[in-house]
Amino acid sequence: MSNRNRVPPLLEPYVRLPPEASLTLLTGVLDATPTWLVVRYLDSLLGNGGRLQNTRGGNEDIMDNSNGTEDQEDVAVVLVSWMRDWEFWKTEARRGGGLDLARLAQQKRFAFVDGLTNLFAPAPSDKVAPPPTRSLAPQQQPTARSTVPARGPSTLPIRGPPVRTPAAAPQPLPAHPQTTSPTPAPGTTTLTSPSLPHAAEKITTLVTTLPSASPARKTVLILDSPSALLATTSTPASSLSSFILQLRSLVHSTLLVTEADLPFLSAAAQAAYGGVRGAYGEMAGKVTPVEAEHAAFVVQQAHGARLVISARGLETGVARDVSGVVRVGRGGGWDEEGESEVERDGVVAEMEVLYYVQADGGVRVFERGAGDVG
Amino acid sequence: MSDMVWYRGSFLGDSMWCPASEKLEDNEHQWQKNMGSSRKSPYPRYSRRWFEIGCNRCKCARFFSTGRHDEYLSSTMAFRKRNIGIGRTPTTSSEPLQGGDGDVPAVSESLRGTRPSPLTGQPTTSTGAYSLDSLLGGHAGLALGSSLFIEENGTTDFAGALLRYYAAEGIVHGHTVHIVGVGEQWVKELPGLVGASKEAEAMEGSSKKSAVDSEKMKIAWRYERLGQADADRASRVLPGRGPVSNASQGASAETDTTEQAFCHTFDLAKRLTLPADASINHIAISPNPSPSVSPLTAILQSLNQHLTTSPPNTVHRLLVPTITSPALYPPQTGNPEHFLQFFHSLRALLRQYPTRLTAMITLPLELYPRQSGLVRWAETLCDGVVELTPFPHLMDASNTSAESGGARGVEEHPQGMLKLHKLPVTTERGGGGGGSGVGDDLAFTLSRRKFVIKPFSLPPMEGDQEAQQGQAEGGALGKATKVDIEF
Repeated sequence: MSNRNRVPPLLEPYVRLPPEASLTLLTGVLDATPTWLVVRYLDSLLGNGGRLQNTRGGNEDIMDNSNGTEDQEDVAVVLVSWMRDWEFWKTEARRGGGLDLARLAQQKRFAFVDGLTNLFAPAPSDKVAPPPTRSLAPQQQPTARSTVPARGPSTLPIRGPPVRTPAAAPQPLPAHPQTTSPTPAPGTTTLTSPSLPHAAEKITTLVTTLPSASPARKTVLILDSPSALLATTSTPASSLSSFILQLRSLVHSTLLVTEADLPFLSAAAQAAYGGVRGAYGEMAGKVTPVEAEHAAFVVQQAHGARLVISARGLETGVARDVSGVVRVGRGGGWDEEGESEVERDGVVAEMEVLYYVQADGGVRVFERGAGDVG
Repeated sequence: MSDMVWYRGSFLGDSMWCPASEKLEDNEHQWQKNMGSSRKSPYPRYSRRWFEIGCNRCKCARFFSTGRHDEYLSSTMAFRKRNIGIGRTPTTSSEPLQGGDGDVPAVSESLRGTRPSPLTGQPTTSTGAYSLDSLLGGHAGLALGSSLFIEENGTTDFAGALLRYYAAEGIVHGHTVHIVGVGEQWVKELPGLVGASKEAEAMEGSSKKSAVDSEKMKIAWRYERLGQADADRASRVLPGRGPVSNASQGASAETDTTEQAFCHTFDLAKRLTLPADASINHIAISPNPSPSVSPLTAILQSLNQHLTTSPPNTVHRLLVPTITSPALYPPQTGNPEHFLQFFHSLRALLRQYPTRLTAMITLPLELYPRQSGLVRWAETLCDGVVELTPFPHLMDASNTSAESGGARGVEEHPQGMLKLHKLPVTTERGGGGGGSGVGDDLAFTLSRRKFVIKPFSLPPMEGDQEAQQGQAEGGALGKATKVDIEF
């Protein structure tokens, strides 16, 4: 049985639908990105019904046993990514989870907000109607990412789910005769400004329209690297934190992905990292706003998070069958009182295990020293 | 046939033998698949999964596992095909490759100088340095739509050499090359092509005796193709599919002119003759813009304009040499808003044109060390990160030894350490390790003709008499190396 399209057993208790109003913090470092963890979450949250047809079977019984309770949950996911594009997530979800995000978007169970493509749109002024510049393969056309030529947000009525039928797609753009660029994929929205109110408005619209299909549906918000805004603009950490708090109030639960490289965090713990930084002589004690804001943001979010799941490289060097270490810890927002029965059994304990992302997108998670049984 | 030599490689578990009396060049064999051959598989346990390919001329045979069949046929039997621009041989590019998910669109026929990644099928292009290509996560090239960020410690300019190779490779392939900051003169000084087959042959002949991977080691019939660093690492992921450098096989490849090769060999001592239709876009950096305007916006505007207006089958390369260097860029370049917005927008642009654009950016680490949040963000926003740490003061030593001719025969001494911190495509997917090379100790050597990256190994211990004698003149140098490592 392949471990593809399956959440690794060790990780499974952690990637279930988190309790209401909780925040889960996923951190990664340069050479150990937590994107695969996000995919496992997507898999776990959207797995029922969203799976590709041909990957069904085989795993059915396991899925039923392991997250039998969760299969009844009706979950919608809004993924906001400031670092990665729609194409990436779509591909990864298919490779890693066997999910068809495009179809899920059609079913109003998934929505994507693209914070990468047009965030700092270069040269929006002179768009000379070019020949269709991208996607030479015909099958890529329908799934092309939302490269709307930057035209102010006001003239962009495409706001996720409302516009999904193919017939409706050309209509919102009559004012632009040269709409040669492909229409956005259904269920995706593009951020055209790095400002937080703009993003908040777009995400709020999405979140409020998404669950309209069924009232019992719970929405999970996944924010991928909003910390990029701290570095690329002069957004202070406090604004970003309140932005996230604002969004958290709208949804059932929130997943926040951020970077936790040593240079980003050292500002928060000069004493702890003093030795490391001291080794670099001239860098000791120099903290620029980029580092200070990032550290403040991550620390604050970690205090508010229920779980902190961090991926990092292997300290002891590279190994052929290990990609890195994933550590699950309780964050400052861990609620002892609210522990459910399952959790009290010790399922959600802190854990540190190794993981290996295989070439086919499958992931093995295993205890140290148990590499071959994962 | 009496003196049949059995060469055995643990590599992928296959074995091969060839009558030593009749050594044929790889492309002189007449291969034929022997289905149901009487010869026993070297691995009886797995006999059903192996089949044999025999040569009609020398009667040698090689075993292949069925799973790798396509790869073998394409890499060893379809000889040069792998090396040809995809447009010319569409048939070879259509085979389904192991690990490929079909999730990436097929490469257009007319993209020159690209070929699909053996891992994912994504189109890749060469960086111009064969050794570097083979280290990029098993993709055997730089995936289109990704960027490479090269950092360099110290005041040397090894990164500049890589940049030159990258530019030259682009020009040879007819890619549109966008060069930021440096003037026209820089292009005129690009390394020349070690071109035509005769020349390559001559070079091969002369270097045969001294080169490390010399012809004597015929075991290397397959390893040969993998290249130096590749043989140890990427091969595990991906056997037999390393980029075939033009020089190593150019001697017998009369049918293929050099322009069809994927990766060329360049000579830093020569000058590239620019073809008349070379498409080079110089992007000037305004020296005194107003402090509130990002000096880097112009780069993206120009790039974007070229991308939107050029036909869809052109491949573009962006070169940003020594970003933040005060020699080329105004002081406000280092402002995080300007600097990181540039990287973010570049990332967006690369994702928007996943089959047409690659970028290479170099950064001197003297001004902004890797431990600064600024550089770490730039690394996070780039797809591949390479750090060069040249050894101090070793240049002189290696020069003298080269002149004396003593140490050359053993091995060229590394000039610095190279670290891969992030690999295009692979790292983004969460995969590290797995033989991808991230974090390994690698050393690089820049010589006139090539930029070689090899796993770094310390020279023999001082007490080791035998090895020291073997090293002869190289001994002193070896010590120097060791000391330098411990700095």
